[in-house]
Amino acid sequence: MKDGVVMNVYRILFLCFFVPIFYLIYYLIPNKFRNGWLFVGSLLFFVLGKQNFIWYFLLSSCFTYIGMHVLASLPRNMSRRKVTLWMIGILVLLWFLFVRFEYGTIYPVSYAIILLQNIGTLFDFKKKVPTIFSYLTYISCFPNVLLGPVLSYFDMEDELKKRKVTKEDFSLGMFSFIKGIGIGVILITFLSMCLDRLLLEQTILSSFVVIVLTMLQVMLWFQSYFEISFGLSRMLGFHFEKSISLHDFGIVSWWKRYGKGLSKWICFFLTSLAFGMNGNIILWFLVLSFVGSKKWLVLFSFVLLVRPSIQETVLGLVQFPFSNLSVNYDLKSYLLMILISFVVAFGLLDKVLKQFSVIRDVFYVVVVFLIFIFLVSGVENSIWFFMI
Amino acid sequence: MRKFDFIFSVIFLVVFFLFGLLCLGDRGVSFDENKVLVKRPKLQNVFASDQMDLLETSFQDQFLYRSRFLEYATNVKRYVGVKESNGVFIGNDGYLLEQTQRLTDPKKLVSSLNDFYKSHNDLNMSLLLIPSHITIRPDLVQKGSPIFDEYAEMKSLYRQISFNTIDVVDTLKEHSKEYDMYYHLDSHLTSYGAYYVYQKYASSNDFDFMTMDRFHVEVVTDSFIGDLAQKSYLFSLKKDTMVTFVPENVNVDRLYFDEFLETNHMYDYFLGNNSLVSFVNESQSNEVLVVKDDDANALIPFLVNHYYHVHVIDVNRYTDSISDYLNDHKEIKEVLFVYGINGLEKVL
Repeated sequence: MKDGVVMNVYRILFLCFFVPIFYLIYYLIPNKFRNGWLFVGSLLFFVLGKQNFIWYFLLSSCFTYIGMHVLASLPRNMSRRKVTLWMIGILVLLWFLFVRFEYGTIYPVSYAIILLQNIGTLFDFKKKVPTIFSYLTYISCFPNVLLGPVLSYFDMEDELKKRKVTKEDFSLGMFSFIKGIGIGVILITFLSMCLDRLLLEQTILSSFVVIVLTMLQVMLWFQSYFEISFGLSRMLGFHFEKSISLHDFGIVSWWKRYGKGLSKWICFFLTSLAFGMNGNIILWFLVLSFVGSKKWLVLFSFVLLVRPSIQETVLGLVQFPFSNLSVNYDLKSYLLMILISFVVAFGLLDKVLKQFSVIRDVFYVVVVFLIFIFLVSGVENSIWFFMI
Repeated sequence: MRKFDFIFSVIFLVVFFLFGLLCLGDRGVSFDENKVLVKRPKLQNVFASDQMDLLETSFQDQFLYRSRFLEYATNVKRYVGVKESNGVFIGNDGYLLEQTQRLTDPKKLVSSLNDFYKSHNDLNMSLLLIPSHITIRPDLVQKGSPIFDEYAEMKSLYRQISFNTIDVVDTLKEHSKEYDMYYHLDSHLTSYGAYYVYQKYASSNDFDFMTMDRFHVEVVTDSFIGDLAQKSYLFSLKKDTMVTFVPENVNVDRLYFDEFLETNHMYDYFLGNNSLVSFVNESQSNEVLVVKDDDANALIPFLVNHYYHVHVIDVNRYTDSISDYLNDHKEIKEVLFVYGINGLEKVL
C-alpha cells in the first residue's frame, strides 16, 4: 500500500481533507466546469501518491489517443489487429522504460493499471475518436483508478459528456463510501490481526482456517474497493452499476471485466509482464486465465497469491504427522468478528439494513466513529498490494 | 430514499472535515504516551515523495484527544478478543505484560561475557538475569499467545558462562502467590520482587540477608503509571501502589528521587536516571560494582545494607568502558551483572 501510485484511501489525508474539499467545490461550481475540476482533482490524487508517475500517465495516454486517431483513419486494406498489437507493444515498451528509469527492476504492482486501461481502450476502440480532454478525464478519474482497469472509456462516454447529480445519488454514494472505508479499516484490520496470530501456528487445522479467512479477507478487500469506488463515482454523478453488478460476487465479475476484450493468452502474457515475472504471480495468472469464472477456484488462487506460506503448508500436508493437530489457539473470542465478516462479505448486511432504517442510521454513526479511532491509532492492515 | 438520508449524508461530509481540522494541532509531546509527537511538515516539503507518510503520521499524532482515541481503539479491540496492543499483552486481572525478544546472537554475547571475565579473573563475578513477568506468570496471558521460552534461553546462557550465575526464576515463581513480584502496569520488579531476588543473591553469596520484618514498608504513591500502560495505550486501568523497603540506619538520600513522581517516567524514582551512582555504608567492609539496566533498580536499596561501597553503573546511560572503571578502582573485589535478558545485548 505504501508504494501506491495514488493516495492511500484509508488515510486521514484522503478522508478528512481530499474528499470534503473536492466534493464541496465540485457541487458549488456550474456544470460545465465540473469535468475540469474532476481532472484537476484526479491529478492531485496522483501527485499526492507518486509525483513522477504523472509523466508516464500523460505520455502513455496521449500516445493511446493518437493511436485511436491512427486506427480511425486506417485504410480499408490494412489489418486493424496488427496495428493494434504494434501499438500495444510500444505502450509496453514505454512502460518498461519508465519503470527502469524510475524504480529499477522492482516496482509496485498497482502501477500497471494505467497501462492496462490504455491497452483495453485500444482493444475496445470501434470508430469514433473521443476528444483528448474527455479521454484524459476518463483515464485519470480517481474512483475509476481505484476500481482497477475494469471500465472502458466507451462504458462511460455518455456520462462523461453529460451527467446530473441528484440528492439521492449523493446520499447513496456517501453511505456506500462509508461502508467501503469501514470494511477496509475495521474488518480487514481485525482479520489481519487474527491471521497474523494463526500463521504462527503451523498446524493443519490452522492452515485450513487461514485459507478460509484469507478468502474472506480477499472478498472484503474487493468489496471495500468496490464500495468506495462506487460511492465516490455516484457522488460525482456517474452510474457504474450499469456496467458492473456490484453486489454480484465481487472478485469474479471483476476478473471477467478485467480480461474483457483480450484473449486468454494475451491477457496472461501482458499482465504477467506488466506485473513482474515472479513465480507466484505467473502461477496465479496461469490459473486465473483458465479457470475463469469458477468462483471458488478464483478465490483459492488469490489466497495462494497473497499468502505464499500457505502454499508450502498445503503442499506439505501429506508429510505432516497428525500429532500436530492440537489447537492451542483460542479462536472463540474472534468468532464474533469472523461472523460479522461473513455477513458483510456475502452481502447479507445490506439486506438487513434495507429493512430497518433506524438500525441503519445507528450503524453508520458507529461505523464512522470506529473508522476514526482506528485511523488515529494507525491502521496496520496489510491492504492487498494488487489494488492501489 | 428518505428525505433524512440527504441531510444525514451532508452531516457526514461535514463531520469528516471537522475531524480533519482536529488533526491540525502543533503539540510537541504527549504526556500520556511518553512520546515525542511528529509535527506537520511544511507544505513545500510535502511533495517530496518521502514526506507523505510523515504528513499522515503527523495527522495521527496531532489529533486532539489522541490518547483518548487510542484508548477507545484499544478497548474495542480488547472486547472483540485482541488481547494485545502495540506489542504488550493485556493479561487477566488488570496486568499488562511485555514479551521479551529472542536474542539475536547469544554466542557472541556469551563469548564477550567470558572474555570480560578472563581479563578480570581476580574478581568475584556473577550474573543475575531478571526474568520478565511473562516467564513467572504465564497463566496471566491469553492461552495460545505467542510466548517465547525465555527461561530455556536463560538456562542455556547460564550453562555456557564460565563464572558464577544466579537463577531467580524459581524463587520468584514460588513467592508470586503471596505478593506481586511485578507491577500491574510496568515491566519492572516491585520492591517485593526485588526483595526475593536479593534473598536469593544473599544465599548464593553466603551472607545473611535481612528478614522482611527488619524493614519498614513505606507507601510512596498509589497512582503509579508504568511504561507498559504508556506503551499499550491503556491509560485508565487501575493504578499501582509503589512501596519501598526502608532499612534502619541507612542514609537513603540518594537512593530515591521524589521529583520523578511528578513526571511521566515514574519508575525513575529509584536511583533517578543517573548513569553512575555510588553509595557508602560505613558499617560494612566490601566493595561491589553493580552493572545493571532498569530491571535491577529496585534491587540496589537492598544491596546497600551489605557493602561499604556500592558502585552502580547503568549500561544504557553509561558511555565509558567498564574495564577502565574497574582498573581505576582497584579496591572493587566483586562485580554483579543484573539485567533483563534483552538488556544483555547492550552490554560490553
